[in-house]
Amino acid sequence: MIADSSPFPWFSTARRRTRRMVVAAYWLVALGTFGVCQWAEFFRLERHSGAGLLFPLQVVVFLPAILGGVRAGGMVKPFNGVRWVPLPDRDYTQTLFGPPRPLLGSMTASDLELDERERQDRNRVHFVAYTSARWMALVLLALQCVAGIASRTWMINFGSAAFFLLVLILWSLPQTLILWNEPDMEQPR
Amino acid sequence: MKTELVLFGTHINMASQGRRRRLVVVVYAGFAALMLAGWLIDRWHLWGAILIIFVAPNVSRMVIGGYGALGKGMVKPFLGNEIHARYTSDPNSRWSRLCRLTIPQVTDAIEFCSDEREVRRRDSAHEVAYRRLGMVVIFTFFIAYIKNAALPLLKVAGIVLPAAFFDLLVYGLLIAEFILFLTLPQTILLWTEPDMEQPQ
Repeated sequence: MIADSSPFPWFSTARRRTRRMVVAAYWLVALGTFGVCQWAEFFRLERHSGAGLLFPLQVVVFLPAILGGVRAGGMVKPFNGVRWVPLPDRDYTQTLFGPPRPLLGSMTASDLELDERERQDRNRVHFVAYTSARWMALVLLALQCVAGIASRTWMINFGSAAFFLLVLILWSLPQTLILWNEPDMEQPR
Repeated sequence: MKTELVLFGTHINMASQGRRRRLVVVVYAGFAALMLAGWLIDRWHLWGAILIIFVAPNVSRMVIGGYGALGKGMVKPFLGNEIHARYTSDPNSRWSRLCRLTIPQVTDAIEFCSDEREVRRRDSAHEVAYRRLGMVVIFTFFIAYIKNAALPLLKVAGIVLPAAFFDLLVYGLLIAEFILFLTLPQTILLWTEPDMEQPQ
């Protein structure tokens, strides 16, 4: 499930410790961004002041580029084949349609295809992620109900924060579980 | 997956794929009617939302199954194997005794546990459901983002769009997502499982 084409070539993706560090860094950035958005809301800054742009940037750019899974380029192989990739190394033309060209030197799209075992792992991780996210969503819903009893303003503010968190979890949890749990791999000689 | 659905004491044969698909359509039509009722009551503000929050999980558990360890509904409990394994590891522990009391089917491995093929299908259905649900959530996020970030900019440019409409749309989408979150993997399984053998 782990792609050889790490976004950080100076790190070895074979080591679990490295992968856990990348995951921790990703969540730190993600939750930091989330905190900035909340801070902007709290201090009633203009909603289009820039804080609101950070989160979509996080979701659209950082997540696929660091964790991967949703498309090629991150540490986890794309879950559903390579349909679109950003500009590969030493390539100046973006391919939108048709089969993708070689990625990152000698790596091709077929290297990023999942085999049978990897597909099973992917499905299993999605089951765990779905079950966990389901519980988290129910807890957030219950908390929002409690906030609603206390104050309508709290409910609205908590609702948007909870939804942000849920989007973040839905986008990142399967990749996080894969990177966190995959054991050390053999280093290429 | 079970071949018949027991609803209020009535046994309904569900061995054929066509019947299961009809069941899925009926369930989602019922949820759509429930959403409409909630909207008509108070635009989903309090009683409408409460109605959906209480009815949808119960219908999901009693008719569709999957989540909820009681083993009711068409789909076997998704976590049946894990619960059964923990139960059989020490049937006399406090947890196992409580489990036997609250879930009597836990002792019946055939009814309660899934075989390897069923586990694979369960995982695959969750992968598909996760992807589909992710798209709906991102769409909702996008609508909320337009409302919060783009409307003020459009207002500056002289274009005024009704914010209340966006609020209602986002709220409706969130309620639909809540229902899908509870039911989507199970309905994918019901929809895709081929015809099964009738019980003798």
